[in-house]
Amino acid sequence: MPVILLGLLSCPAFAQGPGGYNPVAPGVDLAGNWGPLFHEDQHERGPGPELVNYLGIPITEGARLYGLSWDASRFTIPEHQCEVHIVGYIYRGPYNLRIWEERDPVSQKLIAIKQYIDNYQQTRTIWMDDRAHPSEAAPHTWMGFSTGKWEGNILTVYTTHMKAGWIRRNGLRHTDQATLMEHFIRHGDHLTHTSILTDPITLTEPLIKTQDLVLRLQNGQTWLYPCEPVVEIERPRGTVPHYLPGQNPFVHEFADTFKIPAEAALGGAETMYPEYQLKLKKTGAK
Amino acid sequence: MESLDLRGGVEVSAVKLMRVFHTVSFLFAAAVTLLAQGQPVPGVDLSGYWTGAMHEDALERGAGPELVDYTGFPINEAGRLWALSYDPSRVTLRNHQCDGYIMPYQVRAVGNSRAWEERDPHTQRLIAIHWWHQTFEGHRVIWMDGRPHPPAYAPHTWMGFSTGTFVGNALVVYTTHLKQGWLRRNGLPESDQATVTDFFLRHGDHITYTSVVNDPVFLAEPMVRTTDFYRQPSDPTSWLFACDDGEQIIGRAPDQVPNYPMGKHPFLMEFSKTEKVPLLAALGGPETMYPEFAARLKTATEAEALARTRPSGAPQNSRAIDPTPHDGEIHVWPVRRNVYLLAGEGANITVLVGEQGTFVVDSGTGQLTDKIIAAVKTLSGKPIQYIANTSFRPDHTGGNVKLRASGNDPSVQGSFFSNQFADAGVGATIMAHQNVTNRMSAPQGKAPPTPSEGWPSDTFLTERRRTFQNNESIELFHELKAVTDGDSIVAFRRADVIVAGDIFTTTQYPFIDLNSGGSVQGEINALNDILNRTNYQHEGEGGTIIIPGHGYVSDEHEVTEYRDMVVIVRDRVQALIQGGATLQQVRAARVTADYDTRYGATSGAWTTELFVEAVYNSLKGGPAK
Amino acid sequence: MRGLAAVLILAALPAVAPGQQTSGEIQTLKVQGNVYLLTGAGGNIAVQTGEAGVLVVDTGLAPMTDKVVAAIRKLSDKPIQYVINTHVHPDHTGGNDAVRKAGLTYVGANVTGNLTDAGVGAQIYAQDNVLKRMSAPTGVQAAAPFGSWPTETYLSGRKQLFFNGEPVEIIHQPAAHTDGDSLVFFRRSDVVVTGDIFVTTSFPFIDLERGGSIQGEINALNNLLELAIPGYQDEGGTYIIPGHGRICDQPDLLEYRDMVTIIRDRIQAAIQKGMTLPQVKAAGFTKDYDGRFSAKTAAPSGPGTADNFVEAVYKSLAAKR
Repeated sequence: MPVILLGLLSCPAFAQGPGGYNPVAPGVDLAGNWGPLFHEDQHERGPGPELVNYLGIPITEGARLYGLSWDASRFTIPEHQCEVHIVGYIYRGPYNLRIWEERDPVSQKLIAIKQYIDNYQQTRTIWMDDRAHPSEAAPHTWMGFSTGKWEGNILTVYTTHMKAGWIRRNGLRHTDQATLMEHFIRHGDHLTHTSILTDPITLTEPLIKTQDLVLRLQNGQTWLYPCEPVVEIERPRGTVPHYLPGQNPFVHEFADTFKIPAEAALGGAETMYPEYQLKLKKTGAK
Repeated sequence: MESLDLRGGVEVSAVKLMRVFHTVSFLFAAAVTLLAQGQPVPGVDLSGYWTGAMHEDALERGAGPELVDYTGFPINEAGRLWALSYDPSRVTLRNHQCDGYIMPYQVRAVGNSRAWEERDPHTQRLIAIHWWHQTFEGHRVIWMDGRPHPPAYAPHTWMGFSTGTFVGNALVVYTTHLKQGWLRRNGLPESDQATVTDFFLRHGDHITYTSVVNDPVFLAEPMVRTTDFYRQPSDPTSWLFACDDGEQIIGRAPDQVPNYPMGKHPFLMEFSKTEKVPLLAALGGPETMYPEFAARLKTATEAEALARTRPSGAPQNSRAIDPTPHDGEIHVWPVRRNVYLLAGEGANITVLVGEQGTFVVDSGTGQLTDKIIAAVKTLSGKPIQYIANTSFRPDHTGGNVKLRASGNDPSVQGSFFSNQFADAGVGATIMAHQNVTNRMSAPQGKAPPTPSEGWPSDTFLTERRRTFQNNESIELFHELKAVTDGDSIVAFRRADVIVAGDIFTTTQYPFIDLNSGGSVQGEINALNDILNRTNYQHEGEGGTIIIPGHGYVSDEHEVTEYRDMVVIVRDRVQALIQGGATLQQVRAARVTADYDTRYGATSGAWTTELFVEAVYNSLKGGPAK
Repeated sequence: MRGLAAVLILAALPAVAPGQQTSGEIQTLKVQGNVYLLTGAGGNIAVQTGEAGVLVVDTGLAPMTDKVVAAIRKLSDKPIQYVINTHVHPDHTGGNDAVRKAGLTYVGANVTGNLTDAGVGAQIYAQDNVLKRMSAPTGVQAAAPFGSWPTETYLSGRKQLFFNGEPVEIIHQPAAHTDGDSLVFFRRSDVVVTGDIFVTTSFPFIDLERGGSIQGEINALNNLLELAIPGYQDEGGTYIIPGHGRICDQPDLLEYRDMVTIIRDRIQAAIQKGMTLPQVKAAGFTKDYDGRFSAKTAAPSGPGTADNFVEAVYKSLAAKR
């Protein structure tokens, strides 16, 4: 469902120091328990994206090589087992989301909007009090450092200080230099979440995704995600599973199964646009 | 001065000294009564800068005592044999380089001393008298406020724990909780079971200090010595003792502890020949203290003396006090930060508390589990979430079933696990090396498997398991084939505490169970692995705390002495095996004779014989399953 | 949703070259426990404070020392007693002399009667090869001034100190990026300082001339990985101060270790196929990491660039055969 988002982003203001309590734009109540709707992109969000399916993702050549080298067995390494989904990706997976506010007890000003995501037990803070982002030398985290502000009824959030993490969990990864812009749009008991990931090292253009959630009035969801790393496969110390360049055995698997040109499966910005179909017709690809 | 100086000089009758001692003891009792009535016994000011009068015993206090000069020391056979096996190269080992001097040997050293008082600012009552001794920067606190000594499972230090009282003008001090150290630094040991009574007599600018060492492990009679101090009017400005351990000898194997084989001391005759003293005298013993010994020497033979360089007589039992309370109660001792010791039930139990559920290491025999649960509740209101087992031994796992049932693991409840399993998170999670579960579920021989609710469910197979709980990094390190095949030590990084399980105890020879996969080399490796993870704080003491499977709260020094003992016994058995000895012959050789008065047992679940047999079979690759 | 067609105007983000130190000023950040980070003086500097005094790991570039000492003074006015060097490079040892002079060693002990300068200045600890490379025999020009040389060295394994209430372990990493590398581990603060074994700003600089090797570098990264224990939800826990760049934790280190290992594996396979160094360079084995890690130095093959790293790995591996 294409949505045209125009005039939403007063980004220059963000670049100078985003967030702020603006009494003229008091914002909207997002509090509550939210559950994701999977009718959209269920296939890749639930069971997962196929290997070497980079369709529609504006990856750079470097990111493509990283993806093609990535062996899924990397997950079996103890230090990788409990990796948390980065903030730009965590909303894609299954989860229960709780949103609440943190207000100053005396002035009742909004200090932060807090989120708890049960998948990987992540508590996220979106600072709404106009504070600056920390220095470059400060640690990066899975949820990053977020500041937000209201633009009309839309919560716009800017996040820095993220770790490296998934663009897509089949091997496409962004660096720890990425930044994230999000919009939380509530309409009734429906929440649309738009995320825009910017990382010139791995993406030639920003990557935009949306996902939807509904308000869950009843409690009783699971809220925990225990993960303890253990040795799953005994290997020589320091082994990192990967494919040597040109040796990914699954390079054609997705493309052939779905009868898509191999080069399309390798992604890139042009595969995002409808014009790409014309290009495919020209090359005679099926 | 020594009681009997065969090289001439002043002779003082030991009998006379003993009379003084008895008189003072009587006065001591009287003073204690006064104290009990709440009236402080007014004393004498010992404050000031003091230095040792080195004209007395200068040679042995300054330059140092000769090897195999034990004249006038009332050592027993164990003490003699221990000393005869001591190779001075032992002090080049990194863990020994900065060993402090224990009381009362501390006062024999060169260097400046200083005494000062600590008084209550409101009542001006004397709380403590402090002494600072420059060599090894020994800081001794003599508590004058009537406080009790700590329990037997409390840590030992170089200076020990001292309480004092004035008897007339004499300060009488009683010290316990000393580390093992020097009686004389040519190898004569003073055990960690020693207690010391000492007396400070000030006369003008002179202090005569008398010490009486009672050591059931290494002494046949109390050792009495005097040392004199004179006051220094001005600050000598030299108060420190830089000691930083370094690599002195490169390329030594980690399981090398310099020692002389039994009966093969290369310098046995050196002192005796140089000073023309019969060997029998040089080998010391209580009779060498008394003037009557001179007559004895007339009939002494070298053969008789040489016989004393090897074990004789019957195997000994340990004379150490059992530090574990056996009053049916659980005793809680704060170790460091959020780590606590629970003593009184089987093996030691360690507890980590905080904002999350409690992490417990080992669970005792199962007899006092209710009291353990109650004790843990006093430390934290959160449920017991994890139980880690250092081995499968019943005195470490006996409480597993009940302790587990009393807790729960909230990290699992309310997760996707609990959608699948009705009992997810019900009860604490028990973690250990996989071999612990293997042995608990399918034990050898006729023993039935233990109840399955007590088996570790969260196990690991390789070297290490780590987790983060209560703001603490916790690592379980598997120690390969040490006392069993499932041993782990548990390291709490930020509290700097290591729980050793039965790899290290202060109460017995290591319980190396070959049938359960233990081995002496693995045990030695495990002790060295612990020592690789410890740091002392100051002059070889403090720093990383090690909680033994049984015994008192320790630091690196106790583990070092224990490691040395295991290596030396191993070396002796190895040498005998190389000479073709049978187990019978090894037994007869009494390779543990110098350690039996500290660790030996002639009866019970784990005896000296069983230990020696385990070492023998382990080295021969013998009948382990 | 894929294929979203929209016109979005995004601000130009402030151009931040990966982890580049801003020049001129020192930034101070608290890390954990007793340990702080000073950044902006060349290599990262760690400062441990407490009742006993101040301990400094690495001292930055020589021209920045006044600012470094001033920053230390803001954290604590207690005496600087120890300097520890993670390795020999001048952006980590340049300030040694001045920081040492700003400190002291407590004396009045059994040895100092004979040494008139025993208490002057702090002690400088390092692995012995650091001293070897900074010093020279009499008559030969030394690489660094005498006052910068380590005063205490160790040969192998680890050197232990106990300071400000915690063990400070100096752990040798043989033949890593140099032959004198040490990790410095503050146990109870749970912070480890890595020197240039681990940086967030570039590929590792394997200094072959100074005894570095790719295998030693990888061993060191794996040792580090074992030492670092993450906290809740796989972040925090043991904090890692890299030689250059931001405060890290285990997952950050993991990415770096994976990257170095993968590139080594690729070059190893290429060598086995008989590829020459120019062929290996042309093959673009670092293309998936160049954007993030290839240093933007004045010289195209300076330390930390892809070119420099590939060459060092190649030579290091080829030398072993």
